[in-house]
Amino acid sequence: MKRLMVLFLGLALIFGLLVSCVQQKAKADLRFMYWGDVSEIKIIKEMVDKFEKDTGLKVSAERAPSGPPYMEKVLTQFAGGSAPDVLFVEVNNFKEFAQKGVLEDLNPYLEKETTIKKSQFYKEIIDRFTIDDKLYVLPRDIAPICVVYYNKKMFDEAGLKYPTDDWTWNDLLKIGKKLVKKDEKGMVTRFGYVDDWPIWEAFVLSNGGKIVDNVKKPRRCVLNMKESIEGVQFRADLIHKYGITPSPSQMTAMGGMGTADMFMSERVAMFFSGIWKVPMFRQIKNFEWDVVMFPKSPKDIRGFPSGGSGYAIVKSSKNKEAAWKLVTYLAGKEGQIKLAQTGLAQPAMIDIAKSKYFLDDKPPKHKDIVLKAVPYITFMPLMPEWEQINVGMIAPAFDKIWSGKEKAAPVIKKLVPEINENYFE
Amino acid sequence: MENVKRSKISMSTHEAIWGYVFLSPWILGMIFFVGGPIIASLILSFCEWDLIQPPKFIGLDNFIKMFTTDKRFWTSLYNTFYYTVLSVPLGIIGSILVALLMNQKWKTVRLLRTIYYLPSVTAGVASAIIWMWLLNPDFGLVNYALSLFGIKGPLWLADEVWSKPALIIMGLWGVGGNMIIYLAGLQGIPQQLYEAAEIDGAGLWGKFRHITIPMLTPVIFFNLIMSIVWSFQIFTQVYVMTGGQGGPSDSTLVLVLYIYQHAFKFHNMGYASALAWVLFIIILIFTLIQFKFAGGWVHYEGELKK
Repeated sequence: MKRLMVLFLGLALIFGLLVSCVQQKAKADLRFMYWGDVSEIKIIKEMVDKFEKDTGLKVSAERAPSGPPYMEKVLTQFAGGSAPDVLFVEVNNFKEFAQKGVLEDLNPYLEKETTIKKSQFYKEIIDRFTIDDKLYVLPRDIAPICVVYYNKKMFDEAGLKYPTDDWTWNDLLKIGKKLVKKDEKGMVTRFGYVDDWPIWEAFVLSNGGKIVDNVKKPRRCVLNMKESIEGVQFRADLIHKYGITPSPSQMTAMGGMGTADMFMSERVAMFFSGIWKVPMFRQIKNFEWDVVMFPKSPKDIRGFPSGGSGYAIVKSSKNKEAAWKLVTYLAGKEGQIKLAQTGLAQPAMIDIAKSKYFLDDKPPKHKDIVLKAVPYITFMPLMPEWEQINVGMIAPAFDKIWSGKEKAAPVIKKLVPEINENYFE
Repeated sequence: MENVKRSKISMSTHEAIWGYVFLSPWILGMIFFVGGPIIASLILSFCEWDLIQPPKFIGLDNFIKMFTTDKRFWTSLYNTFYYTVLSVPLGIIGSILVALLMNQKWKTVRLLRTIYYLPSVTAGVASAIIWMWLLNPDFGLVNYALSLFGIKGPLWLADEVWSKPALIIMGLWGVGGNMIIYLAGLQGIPQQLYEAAEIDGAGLWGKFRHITIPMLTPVIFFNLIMSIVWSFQIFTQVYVMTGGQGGPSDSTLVLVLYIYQHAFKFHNMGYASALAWVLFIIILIFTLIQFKFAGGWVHYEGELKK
């Protein structure tokens, strides 16, 4: 019996500790959820510390890994009735919250605010975060996916001129072919061009194509228009017709090496992504590199998909004024300057993006391309089911195109009616 | 007399109490951590729930959608059956063969047993990554071995035709886990049966066919049920090897991966719960069918189970 008593006492002790831990957490005045890499965590900590010092309020900032794990954690908290006060969101996942009416309209706060004006931000990102005249997110950064990183050493060795922003798909082809290297068995040891993931949207948009009829109020998928199909086919041709981009199976042959690793280990000459790869590529010691805007199509059209992120206030928050104050610290001038200095993201405030904090003298030299790219961006369709359409329908169908088994036209012509039937009609 | 009787009763009660005390972690754990969610998921399977807004009751809509318009559900079901139908028999044959080999009286047999068993204690993620290398179309050992015979190996995981066979081959790597159970079964067969058979003039095949196999049937039966249950639930390897996508072209989209996608990528908790219950019912039906037909071929201590 004595032993049982000890056991129960022990259990009671552990339980008590747990409860007090939970209470400790509950003592925070504000709860804030975010994701980010090491440099972002540092900035967020600094800004939260400053906020706590200035206001005397306590903030519990919780981090989760980006992507599905983050959403999982946040949504579980919503489901459990303990939603955080402030949320970090991006241009695609914010709609899950906004369209379900759990985010606060920030316009009234912004009107009263003296330190921040709406006009300081890129109108494109403000527009993305606005649904039916309600602004749900105060933007932190905007991320046009328009950055082609290139290895200068390889260009020099091949006697090629560095690409300039007015280059076209044809130039990409010409240059790419010259940069491919093969071994004596005919196996490609170095590719000309690769994208971070299959960024087919860039080819569709810069060919004058569209994904849906209206990004903010999508009523049907129009990927089956001629220009869109051509764009997708061109990306496939880079793989199978011209051999300058690795195929999915050639990628697996890299043994789990990511495309960014390929660029860093000099196995590809050009790498297409967003500006966020800069801190990673600044570690490169073996060669000089620079960036150029993603090429125009031969039709002389420019177009890029885009990312971006910011901070939102949850409607259920009991301390909204304080939550707003925290948001102004995080997305305000100082927070944006700190972010700009990491080189990781393009600040959503125009003046800071144009300032020396972002356009510093560290590589890449032509970092300002992301500023010039903003007017050409198109976001992904604003609908909660987009992820499901993309993962569940587009990606499996496009696999057939990337593997070279089928052409873009038949695949897309079969796919689009299915998408429309399931999600739009 | 009375004294003895009383102590006897209290003795059994005493034992029962301690029995429950020792069982309590599992019983409580089951009730709170498994029982609750099971009931919740059953209720949710009749709801639409995005985790943000409260669940909305929609009756049988999830199930109707699943069986009528959801093509990916059928794809995932097909992939799961494909995997099960091929991997279960191959796995059973493979592990019996290995168990027979490991039952020999070689000097190195203990070491070999350890080696064969090793994959089943390796973390699923780690072995999936090893297999991604082994199955690498250009540098992988598998295609290298094939090339020695003049065969040009397929693209395996990058090819929608070969991705499922790749998973099955990978699954065979784990035969060591079941081998241990067969080994125990083999060693439990009384030696005198073999001796008697030898006196009657039975050869190696005769002994295997008429003694080893019948005596192993309870173990085979157990393994058959467990393997089917497990292979219906294949997830980790596919998740790791395809980045949660089930690609290329949904060729490795198995049912549990599809449940995962709906739950944690698309946030359709209700639909995911409905899928999970359908999976449960499929497994239940298969298990019941096996018990129904077990009497015909499973021998317990030499007698037919009725």
